[in-house]
Amino acid sequence: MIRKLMEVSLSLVLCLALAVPLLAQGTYNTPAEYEKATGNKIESFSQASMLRTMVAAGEILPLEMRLPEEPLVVEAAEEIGRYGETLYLTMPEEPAGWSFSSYWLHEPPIQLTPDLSDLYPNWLESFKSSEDYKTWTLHLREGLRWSDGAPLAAVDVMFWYEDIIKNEELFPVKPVALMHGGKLAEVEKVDEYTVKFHFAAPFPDFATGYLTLPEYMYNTGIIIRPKHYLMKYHIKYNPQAGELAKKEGFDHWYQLFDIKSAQGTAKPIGKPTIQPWVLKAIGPTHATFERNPYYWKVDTSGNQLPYIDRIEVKSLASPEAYLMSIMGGETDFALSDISMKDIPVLKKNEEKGGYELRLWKKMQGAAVNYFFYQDYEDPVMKEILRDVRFRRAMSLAIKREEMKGLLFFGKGMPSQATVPPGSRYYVPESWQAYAQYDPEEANRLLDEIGLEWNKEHTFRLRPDGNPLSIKIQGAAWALAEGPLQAAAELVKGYWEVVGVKTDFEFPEHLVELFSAKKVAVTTHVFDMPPDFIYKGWLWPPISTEWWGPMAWYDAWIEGGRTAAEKEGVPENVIRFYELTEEFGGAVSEEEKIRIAQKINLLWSETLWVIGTVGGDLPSPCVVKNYLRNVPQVGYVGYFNFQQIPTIPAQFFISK
Amino acid sequence: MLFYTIRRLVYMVVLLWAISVIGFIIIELPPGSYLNVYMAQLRARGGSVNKALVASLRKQYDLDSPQYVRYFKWVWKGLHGNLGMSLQKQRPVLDLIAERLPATIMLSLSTMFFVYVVAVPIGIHSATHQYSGGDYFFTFFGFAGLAIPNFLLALVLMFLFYKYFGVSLTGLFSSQYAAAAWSMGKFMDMLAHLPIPIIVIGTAGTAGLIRVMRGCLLDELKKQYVITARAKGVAERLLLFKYPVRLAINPVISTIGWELPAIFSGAVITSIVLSLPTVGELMYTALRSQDMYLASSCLIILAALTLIGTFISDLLLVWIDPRIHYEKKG
Repeated sequence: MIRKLMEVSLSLVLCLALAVPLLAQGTYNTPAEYEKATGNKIESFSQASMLRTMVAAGEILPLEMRLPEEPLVVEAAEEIGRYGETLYLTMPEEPAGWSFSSYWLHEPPIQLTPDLSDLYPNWLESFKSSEDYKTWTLHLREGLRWSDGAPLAAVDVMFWYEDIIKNEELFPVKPVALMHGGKLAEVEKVDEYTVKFHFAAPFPDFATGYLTLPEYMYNTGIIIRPKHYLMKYHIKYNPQAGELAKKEGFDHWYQLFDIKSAQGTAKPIGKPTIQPWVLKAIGPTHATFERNPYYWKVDTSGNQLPYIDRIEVKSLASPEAYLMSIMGGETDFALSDISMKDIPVLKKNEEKGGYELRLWKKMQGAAVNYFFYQDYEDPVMKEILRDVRFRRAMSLAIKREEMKGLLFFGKGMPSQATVPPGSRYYVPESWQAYAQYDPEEANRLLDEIGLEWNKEHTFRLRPDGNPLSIKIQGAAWALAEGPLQAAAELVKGYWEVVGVKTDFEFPEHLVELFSAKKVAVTTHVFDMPPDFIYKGWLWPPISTEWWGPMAWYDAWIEGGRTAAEKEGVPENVIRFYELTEEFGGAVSEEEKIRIAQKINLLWSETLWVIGTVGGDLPSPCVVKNYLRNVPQVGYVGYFNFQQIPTIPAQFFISK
Repeated sequence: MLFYTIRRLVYMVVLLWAISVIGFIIIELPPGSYLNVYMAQLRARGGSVNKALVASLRKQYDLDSPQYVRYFKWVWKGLHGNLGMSLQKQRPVLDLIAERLPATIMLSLSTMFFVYVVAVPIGIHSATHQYSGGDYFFTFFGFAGLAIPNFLLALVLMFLFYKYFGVSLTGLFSSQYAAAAWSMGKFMDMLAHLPIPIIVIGTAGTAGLIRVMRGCLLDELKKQYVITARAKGVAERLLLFKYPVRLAINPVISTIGWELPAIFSGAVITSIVLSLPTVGELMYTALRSQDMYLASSCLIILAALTLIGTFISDLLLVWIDPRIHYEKKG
């Protein structure tokens, strides 16, 4: 018996030991570290043949000068790749848009490891915080260059801080993260390649919460801007900047500056970057990217990345055309804007399209969520929405098992919209609270509130005698991300059984309705960030907008509890804000888990958001047969734009 | 003749101006503005939007001035060649429209060409072989094309081409040729992508024209002079084309002007579904995000193209039918 146990555990350990290298696609901060870890030495570096030609023609510097002193070493997911080839992609957005850029061009200062368990410095060489987490020291990779060959150093960080963030015309409102502690952080240049960030309050989350985030989402996740290129558009360095702007058709210098320095996009052509591919041409429906000769990553044999020479992106206007293009094999890779509901049709056309459909993991508390807006314009309905019994009743009235079978092919589990299993912050009671199907209890709760049935016993009535009716609203642009419409149809049926007349629509301009308080119940898909960047809230930050006015959060940010109370923020909402702030300031893992548990229980107690089906739900990833080094299983989600652990720079095409 | 032309041109300018005013007002009618969309994006990206930022953005995008000020500023700048900045795409509107104009015009012209080349002969055939099998056949397909919504037809055709020819014909070019310089291969590639949009956009117009052509020609063929000519032994083909067709084609030519708006608006839906780089599709995305300068400019461009089309149609009519010129006395 004991021997059997030992055998089993030994084989388990062996399996894990073998599996780990398969799961993890490692990176090593420097070639020296790579040698220390594996015993292999990188003898020499080599480059793509098209770059060799450019060196010979004198257009770019030789390879030794282009790479930084210590390039990042990337272990290929499958095998060492081959240079060359053009990658063809189709995207359901304008060329060089958000989805494409956030996946293929994403280079934050710090990155998450493939298994989402740790951070590693990306284009930074190292990052360290002081004991009290108030000071962060960032050391840049020496010798790193921009895509036009100009050296990248601390001056570019200082340019970003002094001349962009601190400039009142460019940033009249400072980014929230830099205002941590109530005061704008100080950035100090220590030497040519080192900077220090000083915060007014301890900021243990700075690395995970800010430096891993891409410029494509947070508008501020980048801490560096090419000074040599942007100087001539900045009024401080060029008094003619205003005239320059007027010549281009703008009224103010900062409008042209914004365009030229544009964060979150590969445009305009000519802007120096540190991304693997650089925008070379753009038209109404296509964009062309070419390799960055000054890219600072190499593979374990010393080959400078990326392998792929060129990327051609074709832009499609409708989701049907996009799906068609995937089925027809027009795109070499597809991850965004396809979801579970497309899996059957994509699987069927695998051979015809010449691709493989892989199932990646989507990290969600619950796939489809319903938000009950807490500040609806109609006072009678507002009271009902604010009554927690109503929200609990609505949650109990949903037949989650049926939804699981009809919409999710039987995968996943009935759940609420809190942290799912697999995360260290998972609280089982919270994830399953009110997730059972109990229409009797739902009816009982609705009766308790005082919502009586009408004479014909078809619908319930509000206290003022009008029929109780709800309109579920979602965003039209989110329809591709999950079965929102189908789910709304099902939920309409469930809620009408308990007497709540329900309707649904997916307007284009949902956001205006939020600020006008014209939404009662909304629906959306939200992803749960991995533990490392979890902040206590659902994506996006606080997601308050979907269930409460932003004015509440703004008031709390500006004036704390007193301002929030004056604004009329309910007590448990203030409590939620306080808990998330506590979580952000927590240092030890135990403390974080403790606070996260409180947050999760608060979520499931208040049920401002109810979930339907969550857990292990697959998401499709289409990979052309000749595209290699794409992991078999990856993660999909907004939290870090679906790109982490795959490092597209090490993809290659083998025809 | 000269007066006629000048008068038409003056009408065009007045009409264009009226369209610009109405269009501008309508585009700004929905509550909120691009600012709401932008602020929502900012918030979703973690920035917090407070009153100071809102105020500065309002100033930056000129939203504080009254509507007529904004309108006049836009017109003034427009006359100087500056159509403003697309708020969403962060590029000058003129650039965005200019890069789509060739495709738009080409698509519309080829569709019109297809419509007339197909409809007129079929209409003539239908009239001369009234109630025959061919007549019924063409009529049926014409009406089917008229009745089926454009987007549905586009999706179905796209799928059928994929199923039976194995090619997915999205967009105007394949990925390989999209960015390449013009070559024979690129031209052939474009020709391969054109059939679906032309068929989809054109079927509605074709159906109508066939019926008009058929009806007008039938009326003409019943007239006395046709019977007389036949009795006198004029060859059928010569007889048909020298008089009745020329007369019957009058209403067909004069309605070219009406066909154009139908083609442009039909092209919008089709362009969205098939991802064609046209001005209509640009206008649609601009309207969705209330990108007012872009939307208004697209509207003006499309209106201008339509007006030019009707103007050409007027000139054609005068050329074909001299009676108009004499009657109107310039």
